[in-house]
Amino acid sequence: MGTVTKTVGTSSRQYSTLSAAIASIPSNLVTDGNNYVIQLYNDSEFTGTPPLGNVSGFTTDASHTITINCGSGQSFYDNANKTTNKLQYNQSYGVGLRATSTGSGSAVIAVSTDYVTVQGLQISDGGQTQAAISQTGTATHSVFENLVCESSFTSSGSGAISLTGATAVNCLALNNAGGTGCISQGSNSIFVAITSVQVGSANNYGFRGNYDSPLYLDCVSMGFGTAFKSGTSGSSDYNCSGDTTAPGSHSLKSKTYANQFVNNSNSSSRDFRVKSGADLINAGTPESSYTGGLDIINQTRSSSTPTIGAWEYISGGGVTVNLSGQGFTFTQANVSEGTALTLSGSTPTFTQGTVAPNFGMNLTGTASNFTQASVAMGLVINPSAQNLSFTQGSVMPSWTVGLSGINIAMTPANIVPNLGLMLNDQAMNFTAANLGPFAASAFLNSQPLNFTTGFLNGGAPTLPEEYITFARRKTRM
Amino acid sequence: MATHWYLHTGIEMELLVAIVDNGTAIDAIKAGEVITVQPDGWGWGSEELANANWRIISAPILGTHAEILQMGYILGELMVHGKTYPRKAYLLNLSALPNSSQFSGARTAPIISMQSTDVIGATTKVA
Repeated sequence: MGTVTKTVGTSSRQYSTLSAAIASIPSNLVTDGNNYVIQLYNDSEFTGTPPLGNVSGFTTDASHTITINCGSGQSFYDNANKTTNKLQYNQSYGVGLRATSTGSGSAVIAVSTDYVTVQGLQISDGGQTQAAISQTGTATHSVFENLVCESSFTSSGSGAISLTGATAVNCLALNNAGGTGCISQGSNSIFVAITSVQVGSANNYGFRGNYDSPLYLDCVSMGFGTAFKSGTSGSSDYNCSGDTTAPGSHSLKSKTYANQFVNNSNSSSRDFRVKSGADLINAGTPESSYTGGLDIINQTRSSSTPTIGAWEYISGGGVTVNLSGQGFTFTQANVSEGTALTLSGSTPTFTQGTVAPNFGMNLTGTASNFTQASVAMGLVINPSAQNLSFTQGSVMPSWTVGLSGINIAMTPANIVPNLGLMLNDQAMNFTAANLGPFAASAFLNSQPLNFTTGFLNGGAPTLPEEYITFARRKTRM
Repeated sequence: MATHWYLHTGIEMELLVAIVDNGTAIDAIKAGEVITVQPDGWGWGSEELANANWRIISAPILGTHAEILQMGYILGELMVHGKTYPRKAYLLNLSALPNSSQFSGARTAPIISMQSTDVIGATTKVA
């Protein structure tokens, strides 16, 4: 018995489409004597009319299987920034398949052959009201794991993940149109460590068993009309719901959606990594026979109290990182913290780095330099450093930016807070820089404040204009 | 009713078509199944250009016709009824295509060009 591998990507691969690679597999793998592995490469996004892959009509058994996964280094869970990337469909993170037309109502990937494993893919219906992945028929030994599935299906009859007896593990199932997250039809499917979320209107079901009793372990359901539809396996446990329907005596009920994930908005900012302080953390039970002790991006899960859902929360370098040395340098580095990052040393330098703590960042050093660095904050950035310099960097806190340093230069940097911007500095220079607070206010009390080819997008800025110089551009309200 | 040529002319597309059955199961790939449709000039993989059981047809068909050729059965049907359905709702009747001898035996040309009316005329609904 051997394994035949088929590669799919651009014309440098054996196949340019998943459909053709599937069609090339002999109909009877048992008599053929081989396992078949289809490896997708992220040469470009796979798009088209669904199904982009339809595994049907093959004879398989436990020793003669079909696997669809990614080539080495090609999955979102292989990405160098996998711990800081948003948990959402984004083909730049890894292999992605997206429907670009409605077709006949098939899922983007459809499986009705048994002993099929689909692993490591990002699958989106592209707003075409389809399921992302489906299993039908008697393919009850098929497994769907480590998948990012997004769907805009609008009713209860299908979900981002739709099964009739198979197993789904470590998946994000997202619906953005008031539809259903996951559905099991008639054959007691198994869902383990699934994050099922609704970012559209709160209708339908996070998990729906239809004429059956699916098993739910370590699953979270948020944002739906009903999190877990009644009719579940009595063995279901350690789940979490936004309402009272999570099955199991150890399950968490009536938890607040906004407290669980980094960003649960219906926007490109959505991010279903678990955030610091979430109820999901340490609330699950090990199901390593399903998960292998790993999460959706292959992080090692807690062996005793894993996080509920697809994402294992890992506090990493600690909830708070305090750097008080002098002259520390981040070069192409990523800093991802749960709560706070405090830099109080002198001359910290970020070069092509990313700093993405969830809550706060305090810069109190001298001469902090950000070069092509991105700082994405949850709540507060309070750099009181002197000679703070952003060069082609971005600062995107959600709430407040307070810049109280001296000689702050942004060239050509972007500051995009959602609510407030307070600039109390002296001699701030913005060159080709944009300031875009979205809602509340911008308080600019600096003197002198110079904008050169930049513009200010503000809701209601307070501008002591006698001190502010705009060259070429003024405010855009 | 008269057939108007302009109703059938779309943009040039390339259809990867199976010319033999791949097994006997109801939901196995059948001769005449359009495996995938891609835009003109598509960068096919080496195996797609060489597989003796497949052909690539280039024709200026409408996008809607391309979708018809790729249609399967809707997921709701498959889930609720638990019944096995054919993979596709429509196949190409290979014997109805011009130069039908090109659709059996050895593969002599990587891409076969024809008119949209040829493809439309050979499109057959699966019983």
